[in-house]
Amino acid sequence: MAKADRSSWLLRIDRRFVYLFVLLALMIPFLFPGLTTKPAPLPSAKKLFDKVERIARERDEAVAEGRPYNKVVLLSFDFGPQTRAELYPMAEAMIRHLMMRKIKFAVMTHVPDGAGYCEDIPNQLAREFDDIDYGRDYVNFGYKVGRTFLIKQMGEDMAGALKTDVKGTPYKDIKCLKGVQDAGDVALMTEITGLVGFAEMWIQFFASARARPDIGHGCTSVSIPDAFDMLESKLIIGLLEGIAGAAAYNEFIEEIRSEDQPPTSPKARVHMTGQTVAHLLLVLFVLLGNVGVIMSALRRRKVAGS
Amino acid sequence: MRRWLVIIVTFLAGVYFFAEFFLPKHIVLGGTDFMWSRYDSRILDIVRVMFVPAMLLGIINILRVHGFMVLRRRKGWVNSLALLVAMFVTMISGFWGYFGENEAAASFFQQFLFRGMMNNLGSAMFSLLAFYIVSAAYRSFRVQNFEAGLMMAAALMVMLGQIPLGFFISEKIPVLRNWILTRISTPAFRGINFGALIAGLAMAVRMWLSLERGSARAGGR
Amino acid sequence: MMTNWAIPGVLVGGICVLAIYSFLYRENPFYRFFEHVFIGISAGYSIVMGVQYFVWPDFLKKTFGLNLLPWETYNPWELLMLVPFIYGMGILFMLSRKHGWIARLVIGAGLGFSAGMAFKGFFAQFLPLVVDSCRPLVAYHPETGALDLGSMGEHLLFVVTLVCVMTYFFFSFEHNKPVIKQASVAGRYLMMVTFGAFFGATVMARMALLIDRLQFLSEDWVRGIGEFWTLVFGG
Repeated sequence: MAKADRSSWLLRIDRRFVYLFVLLALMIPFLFPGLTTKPAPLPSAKKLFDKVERIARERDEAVAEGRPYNKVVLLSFDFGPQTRAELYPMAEAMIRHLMMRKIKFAVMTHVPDGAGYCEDIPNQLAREFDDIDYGRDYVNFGYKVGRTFLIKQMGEDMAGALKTDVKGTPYKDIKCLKGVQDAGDVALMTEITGLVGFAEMWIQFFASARARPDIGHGCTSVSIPDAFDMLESKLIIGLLEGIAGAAAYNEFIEEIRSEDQPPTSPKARVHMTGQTVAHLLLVLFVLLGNVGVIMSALRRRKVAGS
Repeated sequence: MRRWLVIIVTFLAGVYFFAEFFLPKHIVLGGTDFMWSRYDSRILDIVRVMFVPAMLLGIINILRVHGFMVLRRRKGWVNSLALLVAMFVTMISGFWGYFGENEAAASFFQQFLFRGMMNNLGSAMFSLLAFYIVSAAYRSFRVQNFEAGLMMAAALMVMLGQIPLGFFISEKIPVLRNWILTRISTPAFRGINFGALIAGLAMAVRMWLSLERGSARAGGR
Repeated sequence: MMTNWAIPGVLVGGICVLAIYSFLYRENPFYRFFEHVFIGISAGYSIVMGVQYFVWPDFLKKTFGLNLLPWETYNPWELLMLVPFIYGMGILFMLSRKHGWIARLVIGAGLGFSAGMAFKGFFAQFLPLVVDSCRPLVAYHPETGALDLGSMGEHLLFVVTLVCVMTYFFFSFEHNKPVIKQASVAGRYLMMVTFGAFFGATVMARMALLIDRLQFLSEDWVRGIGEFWTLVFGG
């Protein structure tokens, strides 16, 4: 009977032990939540952050000069439970930034699952800020049917397309949307989604005869290479790259936050520590597999030589 | 005859948006100024209303498949019963909370069913992929030639650049990751994208003109 | 009747996560049960959202004049919106063998609408990509006017990568000619780098889902159990 290949155990680890090891390793960041480091300042997230800051500055200048300023920021939360892990933190970060700068915004979604997030995120954050009121500072349109057809209609006639908010208030009676008629009155449109084709829908169809607004995008990490293509060709002006983008955006917010404003959630930082552990784990297992193959090959050569 | 009816309907449905894109926004003929966008709102409302019954089709299909399993007591009928019960409980609580303005039903729908169950079940199901990706990388990611080595090196650089550890080791690592994504990945993806976009347009034209074999072929013979 | 289902939601949520993770050990009826429950809840949720956000406010109320203010009068022409609805009902004939062709009329209309929109979408997205791809191979510093070798190198790499990758996918001519063969091979190597980058990004996406669930279990679920314990047993 042939001797057992001693190096082959590296290639024969049961998958259930691999899963257990992953589970145990990823619990480490939660046992030591203070063990975090600063996430990388992603330039793509900085571009989106700077755009929001520019909107706030333009609004302040217009107000100082006595000019009317009726532009809003539009956000579309087109994600569900499957991708909420990466997209919920970035939606939260953007809303927090808009509330900090008191920029009027509207949220909506094209998917039924997103309606819950459109309800939860702004309302929960509004409770943290003292002076943010529904209707005056932000509005929720909830789930709107139509996708490309709706977006095309919104480009030319926002009131005709959106009709009412979730509370049934007609568009014309919503305070924060006074004077917002078409895409030209939208300072920034941000699509936060993990679904293929949704950001492209806004890029392709959201425009009026007089203007096409700046479009930002928050995507899952899987879509990063594709989204970078849109960023490089200036189809979008900023990009939040998955959970790393959300963490980076939170760091930018922390840099400008004043003491009297509510702090950002530490969850994103702890999450990124978990990502560090997960990535190192994956590299370890890939190395294990490759080392096992090399050792098996060397052993076979030795046995064949002797 | 039926086939021609489908072809004509498909063509006419696309004509409005096709003409709206290629013809000027204002068409002045004689003394009249014809503006396309005057009808946009109505046309788009019609399109949206037309597909409302598709929701009914979804429910009917679920009832057919899983109702049959329950009535015939086929293998796994308990799970099918659970599916049907969950669906009806969700619908009843949702409608009761909204139309009946019942606070308890609305809370049950939103906080228990959506946030408590649906969120966690959906997220957990997709999070299983994390285990599989580690297991698959361990079993099949073998650096056996130059191309695999190139792929591994790129993957390592990108992974290191996106975690805080990479930034902690050196500020240049995220910069390198960004360089790979913008200078190599972007043009490569764009090359693939060009092909996909042109193919998409070609497919759209073929669908519109019913040149595609099997287009609009659903149900019946 | 209980009006706040937040704590029970969190508790049951944790059980749901553990039920799904039981699949990692092996296939089991606990996992199957919760998988079916998830599909049921998702289907029901989509229906409720569709009716709540579109069918009732934007279609039924408007068509039958149920949202009129006291001084407004009903316009009977709104009933014409029932025509596309009845037309759309034709999709239900998909379930019939004999009359299934009627469903094709509705699907054909949908395909036609989407195809018509595709033209605008194509040009709105494609042309900016083509324009951006035409990068200057001779670049100058905006301030000094001197040759910017760094930018020139980057633009050259961009254009070469794009051309090589596109050459790899050109199957209209054989890849055994001198320049085309090299370009095709280079395109393949550059795509390997791209796929490596794609893999690296995918790892973060998948791990994010797992870390998020573990964060929920270790923070929200544990806190929920504590709150439930306090509620039921006090102290």
